[in-house]
Amino acid sequence: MGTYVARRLVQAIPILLGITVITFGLAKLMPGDPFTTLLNPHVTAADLARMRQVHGLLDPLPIQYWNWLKAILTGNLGVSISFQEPVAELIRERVGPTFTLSFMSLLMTLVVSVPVGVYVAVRQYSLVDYALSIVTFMGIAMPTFFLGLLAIMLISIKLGWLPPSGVVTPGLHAPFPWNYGDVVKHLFLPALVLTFGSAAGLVRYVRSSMLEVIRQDFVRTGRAKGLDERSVLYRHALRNALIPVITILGLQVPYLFSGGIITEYVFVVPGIGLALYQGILARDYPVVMGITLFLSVLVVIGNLLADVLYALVDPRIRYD
Amino acid sequence: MPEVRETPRPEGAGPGAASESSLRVFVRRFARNRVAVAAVVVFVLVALLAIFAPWLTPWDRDAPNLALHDHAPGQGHLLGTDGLGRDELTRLLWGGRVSLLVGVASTLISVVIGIVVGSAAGFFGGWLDNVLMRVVDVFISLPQLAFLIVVAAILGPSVWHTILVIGVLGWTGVARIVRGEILSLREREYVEAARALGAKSFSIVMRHLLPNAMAPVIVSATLGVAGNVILEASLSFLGLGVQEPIPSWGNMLQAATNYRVLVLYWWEWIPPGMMIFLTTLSIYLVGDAIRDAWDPRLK
Repeated sequence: MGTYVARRLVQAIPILLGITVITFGLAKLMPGDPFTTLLNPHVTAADLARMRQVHGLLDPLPIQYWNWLKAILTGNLGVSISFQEPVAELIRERVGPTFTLSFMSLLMTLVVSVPVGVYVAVRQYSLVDYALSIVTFMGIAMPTFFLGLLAIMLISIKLGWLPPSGVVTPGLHAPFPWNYGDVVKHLFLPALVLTFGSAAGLVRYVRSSMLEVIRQDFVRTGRAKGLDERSVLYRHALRNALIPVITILGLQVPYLFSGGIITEYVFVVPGIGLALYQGILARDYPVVMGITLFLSVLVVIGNLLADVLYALVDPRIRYD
Repeated sequence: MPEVRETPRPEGAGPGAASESSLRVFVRRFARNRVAVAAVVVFVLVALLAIFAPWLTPWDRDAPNLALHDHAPGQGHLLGTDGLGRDELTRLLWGGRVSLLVGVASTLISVVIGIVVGSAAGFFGGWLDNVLMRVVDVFISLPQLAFLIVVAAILGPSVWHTILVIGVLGWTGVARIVRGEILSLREREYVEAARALGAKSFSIVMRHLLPNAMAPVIVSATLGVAGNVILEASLSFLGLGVQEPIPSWGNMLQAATNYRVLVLYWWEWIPPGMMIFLTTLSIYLVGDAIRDAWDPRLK
């Protein structure tokens, strides 16, 4: 097991390097550099050239890449021009709302899709099964921003049940742990919108995984020895059916932090996704690079975590 | 990740075998699925409306009429007018052209790249396979929408750039599928026979391997079109895809970020949203039915 984890870690290194190369390449493709925006009339062209020289912007690309890589390895993601603060700091501030939103949605997704998936798997080919299959396709086909706009109009504006945007009530100055009720109230609607899509996908997954398991011999054995259906399904079958679901959950880890850029945009949640979007509009390259890099690394970690967990839970998998 | 084991398909289980009878079996199985047939009808209808957009309404797509802005349905405007007094229905139909064009064209790009990379990796194996699959790993690890947004921002928004961006970032799924299929096919006797007869690598891949690997590629491409229609809509909704005055369903929905439009002028944003939803839903249902009809066990 230890060697398996070690090997997967080593395998992740070239992927991470590839990601840094692509991120760096993209940043270099973007027009301009931080000094292009310095429109101070007292700065001459010669001064600009010297500043570029000092900051290494005239170095050969491989050297620039190497210096940038050394910097990000020490956690220095550069300084944001439009937010006026270090990018690492910006990410730290914005992670909170995004994580809360995504965590709520992940929790709701699990609570909905596991029981529903089991329910329809047991009733394969029934009317409920067919109806739910169409509903899940609806969930996948529904664009989140359209659903979000509908939700804001109906639930927030027409019915006035939940706030339409933001994370806290303006003017309510409660320190961090005490404003949680308020935060949850604000993020419930966006979380619900995110849940609709992801639950649709997960229900299909749980269903097909469960269908595969309940046809196996040990399930029949369980029934034959007189266990009641409930315990056969939930104690024996579901446990095995949930193993492949781990992979899907691992893929959700980066989603926990990147959430929905779109959802954050629609509901004006000041999270990572919205910061990325604002960074792009402002042509704030350190922000764009820092956040895309942050998100990509999370994807790699999520995959790694899923693989390791998978191997840990399922003794049938040989990890040599 | 544990090795994924390929389930071998029974001989002749798909039209990949290219015999007429199996194609007929496929059509018969597909036609039995009434939801799927309905979905095909919806999709064809949407496509026809988009194709014939210029001849279906009397209004000009871009001509503003400020005297009649934000007008509710009526007065010859079946779906009302937008903030500039342009006919909503006309823009909706034209928007369908753009959305479907982007969805289909970007998927074609992804499929071509995916097939080239996947068959090279699967057929030649060795270090080439290793390198290509690491490239796939890198691309899969890029957060899709975030990267789309960044690249779209670099290239500058336009219809063709949107197609290019979505197409070039979306090929990894097809590449993996093709590679897997070719790995499982290349050791078969008929491939060995072709090789013994002196067939070149290129012709073995093109004539003997790829045709038999197409079934899952077609399913994945169908579902890909739906996904790409949504991606285009998302990019355009954020203002980084198709730009005014060219309408796309995504940028039409942008109007709803205005509070007044959202609350008061439903006809300006609900129809394009519904069109995205109906189109992608019908494509997903068709793709699912194709998979079912081809080989129910692929599900």
